[in-house]
Formats: sequence, C-alpha cells, structure tokens
Amino acid sequence: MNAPVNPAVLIEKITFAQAINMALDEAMAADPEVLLFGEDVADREGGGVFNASKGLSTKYGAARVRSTPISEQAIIGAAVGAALAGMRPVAEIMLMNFTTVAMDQIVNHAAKIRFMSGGQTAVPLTIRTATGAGTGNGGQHSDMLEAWFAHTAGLKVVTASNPADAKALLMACIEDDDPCLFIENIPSYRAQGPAPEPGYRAKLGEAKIARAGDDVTVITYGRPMNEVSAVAEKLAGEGISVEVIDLRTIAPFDETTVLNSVGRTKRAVVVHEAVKNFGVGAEVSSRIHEELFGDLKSAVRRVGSRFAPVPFSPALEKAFIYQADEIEAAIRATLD
Amino acid sequence: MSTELRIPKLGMSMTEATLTEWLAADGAQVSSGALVYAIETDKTVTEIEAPVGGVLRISAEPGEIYPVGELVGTIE
Amino acid sequence: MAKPADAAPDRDTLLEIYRRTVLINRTDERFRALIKSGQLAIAYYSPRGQEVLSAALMTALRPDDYLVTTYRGVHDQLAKGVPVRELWAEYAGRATGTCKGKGGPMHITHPKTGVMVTTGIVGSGLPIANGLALSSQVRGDGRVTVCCFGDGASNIGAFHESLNMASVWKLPVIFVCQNNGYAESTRYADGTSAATIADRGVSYAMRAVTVDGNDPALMHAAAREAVALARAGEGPTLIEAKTFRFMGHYFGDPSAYIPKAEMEAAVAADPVPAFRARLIELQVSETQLAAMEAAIEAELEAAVAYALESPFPDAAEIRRDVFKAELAA
Repeated sequence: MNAPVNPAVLIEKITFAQAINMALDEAMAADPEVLLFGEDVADREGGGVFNASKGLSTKYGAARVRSTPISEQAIIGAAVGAALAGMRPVAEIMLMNFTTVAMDQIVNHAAKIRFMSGGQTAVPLTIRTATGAGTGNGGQHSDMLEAWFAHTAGLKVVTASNPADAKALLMACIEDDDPCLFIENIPSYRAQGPAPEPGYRAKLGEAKIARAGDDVTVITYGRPMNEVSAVAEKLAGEGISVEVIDLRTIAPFDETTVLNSVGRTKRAVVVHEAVKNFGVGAEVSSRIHEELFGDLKSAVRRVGSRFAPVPFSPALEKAFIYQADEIEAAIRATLD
Repeated sequence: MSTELRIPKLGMSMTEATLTEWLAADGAQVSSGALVYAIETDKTVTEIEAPVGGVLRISAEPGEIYPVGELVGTIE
Repeated sequence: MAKPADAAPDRDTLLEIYRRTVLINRTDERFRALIKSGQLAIAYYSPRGQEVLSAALMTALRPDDYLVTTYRGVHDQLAKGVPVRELWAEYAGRATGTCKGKGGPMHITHPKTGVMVTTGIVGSGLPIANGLALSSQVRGDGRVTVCCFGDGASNIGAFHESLNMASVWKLPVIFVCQNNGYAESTRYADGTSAATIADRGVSYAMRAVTVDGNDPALMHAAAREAVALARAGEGPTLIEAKTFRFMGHYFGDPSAYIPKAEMEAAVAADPVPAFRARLIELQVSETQLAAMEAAIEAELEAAVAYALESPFPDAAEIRRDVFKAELAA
C-alpha cells in the first residue's frame, strides 16, 4: 500500500474491546475485591465471546474470574450478593436482550436494596452487556434497552462513544458505590480510537461537549456519535455550527450541561440508536422543554430507530436503524 | 458465470475479519473444495474452501480487514 | 427424615432455642393483635407454627453468618438476632426502624446481625445467597450463608439456577426450604412434581436432607451438620424442613383450602407447647421458663411502645438512599 503517511496513525490506537479489557485489568489489579463472572468469560472458554476478558482468568485466577452456567438470574444474583458483602463484582450478561431473564435481580434487587435497607447496605456491582443492530443477529440479540433501566430508580446507565471513554467509564462504574449498567456496542468492538492518556478518568453523571458550537445542540451517546460527528462536520462547511454533547452517563443524565448548552443555542436534537418511541430522547427532550420552553427557537427533535423489533434481513435492518440523513434533516428542521 | 467469494459470518459475535493470506494465486485453476484463502478473527483462523472449481480472481489484499459480506474474489 | 445426630443439642442450647422460639411466638402474637385492632395496617405473613424451626436453625449459626430470607421471615430475623425494637419500628413504618421505614415488613435488613436481604419475590433470595457465599469463599472469611424460602419457591427458575451454581462452585451456602405444605393456597402435591423438596437436590449433585423442622433437636442437628460442612469447604446443603403454618398464607386468609382434619392435627401437634413440655420433662423448672417468658414479654411491650411512639420518617428521605449521593430536591 502506498497511501500517504497520515500523522494520525502515529498516535497509538486501541479498539473498544481492548479498552474494556484494559479497564477490567486495571480495576482487578488495583482492588482484590473486584470479581468478574459471566458466561464464557474465563480463558478456557475463550475469554469472553467478544474477547473482552481475555487473559484475566490466567492473570487473576479462577477464584476471581469465573465462567458461569448459562443462568442469568444466578449470575446477577451472585453479583448482588457479593456486592452486598462489600465486594465489587463485574457481571457480564453476554447480550443485552438476556438481561430480560434477570430483570427481577436487576430491578427488584440491585436497584432497590440500598433504598429498601435505609442505606444500611449497598450494591456496588457493574453489569457489562453488549448489543447493537447491524450484525444480522435478529430480534433477540440486538436491542438497545437502556430506557427500561434508566426508568428504574437506583440504577446508573452508562455507555461510551469511543475506546478511551469506554475504559475510563467502565473503571468509574466499577469504583462507583451504586449499581451500574455498562452497555457495549457489538459492531464497535473492533473500531479504533486514540488510546487514553495514562490516568485518564471519567466521572459518572458528567456529559462531555464533544464539539463546541453555537447554532444547535445535538445530544447523543454511544455509537451514533459517529454519524452525528460526520453530520456536524458537513454542516460546518455550510456555516452551521453544531454543538455535540456526548451524555456518556445516560442515567442519571447531566442536565446541567445539556440545559446550559441548549440555553445558549436555543435549538436541540436528541439522537440514539434505541427505538424513538418512549426512549431516552423523550426524557431529554421533555426536560429541555420544561426548563427552556420560552427560550427555544424550535421544538426539540428526536432521531431514533424505527418502532419495530430489530429485523434480520440486511435490507430491513438498514431500514430499521437511525440514519445519518435523518440526523441532518432533524438539525436543519430546527433551523428553519 | 462466476461465483463470488465473500467474507463469511462465522458466529454471532463476528462482524469483520482480517484476510490473512491467499492460499492460491490470482489466475490459478482451483478445484472445488480446495483451500483458497484464510481469515482471522479475534477468536480463530479459518481457511476458506472454493465453493466451485474454476479460475480464481483475487480482488482483496492480504493483511486488510474486511466486513462480513465483503467481496474478496471470484471463481470463474 | 434425617437420623438424630450423634450429639443432640445440650441443655443450654435447647434453652437458647426455646428463648428464641418464645420471642418469635410472642412477637407474632402481638403483631396479629395490633393488626386486628387496626393499629398496624400491614400485609402480614405470620410464621405461627414455624417458630421452632427458625430458632433451632439460627442457633447453629455464628452472629456474623449471613441470612437471606423472605417475606414470611420475622421468625428467621428474630432468631438471627435482629433487635426487636428496631424490627417493630420498621413494621410500624417509623424512622427508627431497621430500614428507617423505607423497607417495611417484607424487606427487613439488619447487616449487624447478618440479615442481609429479605425479599418479597418468591425464590429470588437464592441467587443472592450464592453471591454472599461467594464473597466468603473468595475472602476465606469462614462465614456461611443461610437462605430460607418456602416450598413454593422450589418451583421458580431461580431456585434451580442457584442450586446448580452453588453445587458447581461448592459455595458455603445452606438452602433451607421451610416446607409448610402450601404454596400460597395451593397444596404441595398439586403444584410440585417431586415427592420431596430434598429429591430436587439430586439433580444438582447436592447433599440434601429432609428433617422434621418442628423438632428442635433434629432441626438443630441438621443445621449444625450443614454448617460444619459448608465451613469446611465441603459445599452446599439443601435442608427441607417440614413444618406447618397455622395462619394461612397471609394474616386474614380464611384458609378454606386446608382440610379441617389437617389443621386440627397440626394444632394438636403445635411445636411450641410441645417444646415447652419437653423442657419440663428434661427437668427445666417451670419457674425458670416462666421467668424467661416474662422477660421476653416485657422486652416486647417496651418494643411495641417504642415503635408506636417513634416518629415517621421525614419526607426528605425519599431523596436519600436512591443512590449513595442524595438526590436534588
């Protein structure tokens, strides 16, 4: 290959999968009370179906890194119990749709135990789970279900749009004293981004202004950051200045950053991969309307995937998922 | 009539693969079932067989990453 | 049924089991009285009939051992050592309750006495008990975890997932099924395919025993043996403790589904007076037992007064303990 040398390639890059692995490794090295378990997570079973935990059972031993039976209730329950005893378990639910069979443990127990015990006990666990449309895996392996969990008092819901944040946010989840759900995107596992500086950390509940702008604010999280960034770049060429906020923590979301930005731009679009109906976008949009209605120059727009189960056929799956041109159209609509 | 060679999807977690090497040369006569190229994922290396016999036409570079479904060659 | 253990509980242990039995029995009696008179408006799942079981079981534990129990759990909680004042205050929804009034009767938690979770979802305690036991296994802290549930819980998926995982990982956990013969209103045989709950242990290569839970000596011996095995790293035990509940599923339940003859036979074999009579046979003096009972009743009266005189929680509590950091007003 005789491609021209791009200085960017000289910067060290890592994939999302590597970032997750680094976060788990650092957390386990730093604290012997961090445990890791889930289906096939140990090295003998392949180090996780996405290789996220590769090498960790070899490095930290079978007591701390355990492959489990295919028993999601037992997996999350074990994490709840170990967390009650003060440990910091990281439980992997291979795919987000499989959280449905552990909902009792997640919603009735992990989320509520601190409150129901009057603060005597806490559940500092992290649930890692993967999902995302676009892989041809159909209706039971691809859903973005973050709104369900964000709707449950007591849970923190977190996702990253780049590998450096993935590492920092996962570490923040593990160190947090509340139960956290960390969502990983399957089609992005091998996507690369700049490696984080050593010691780069992130705080839960803090959004990041990924791109500063003046005309309209786009609020998003996770994978759609790719399309939002590209659209913002394109519109910049037309003189439209887009501010992009990466929520990073979906729940509880950083209202201050969002409201400050929209208070200035007076226009907003919320973009997520999950289906639009009853989604996180509805909550964010509603909060903006409640606080800034009189200042807004346009109604807040939402972009999400179609209200349907994730289809199998590539033609339908493409039709299902949010599109870059919809993001662009939504931004333009706020400017009309 | 030519037969396309596309990156296969081998498992739920697979979205792309590195085409590690061609096991037959561009323009070579290959028989059905002969190994023609190898791919590597995070999990494993898999050698891919020719689905039919014929002349191999290569259209993808070894060492590059290709998504599932990408056309990498044909057999004519 | 398990054979009597080589070492039956000694006299002091039996007296301690009896003390806890009376504490449960009198507490339950007072709860029912206050509910009937309208002073406590709670859904109540009386442990009447199951007192001896819990008292004998928990007497085999260390104070720092963990307990996970269920909404019919007041006998387990008291036997494990939850202070009666804080328990009463929680039942009354007061700020001085174990959980500041935020958990209520179905969610009593008291980590100081090892009561880590009380759950209102049938069968959901078992997966959590595994996690507590896992922490002990990883830390090597020597604790065991006891998980109590009813016979109905053996038909929910979490039971099966948990027994399997506990067996595969040889966790120091003891699953105690308090088989009182009815899953809510459904008779055991009408809802459960296995002849005994202990039979279900076979599927999970788990040591499993059936014991007369109403017999203090047999129940205590079975618990002690399971605890010793768990502490020694020999893995989990499933104990099916046979018992009976006198007050139906919930307090107020007409219990029409229980045949009259069955109820009469159970009442005739009431384990609490039977235990007392046995102690008298063992030459424990009537005076000693009466003094013990009077002390418990006095403690209980003070607890009831404390609970009913305590303040209700401040409305600001709604913002606390959702997360570690208080939510904004």
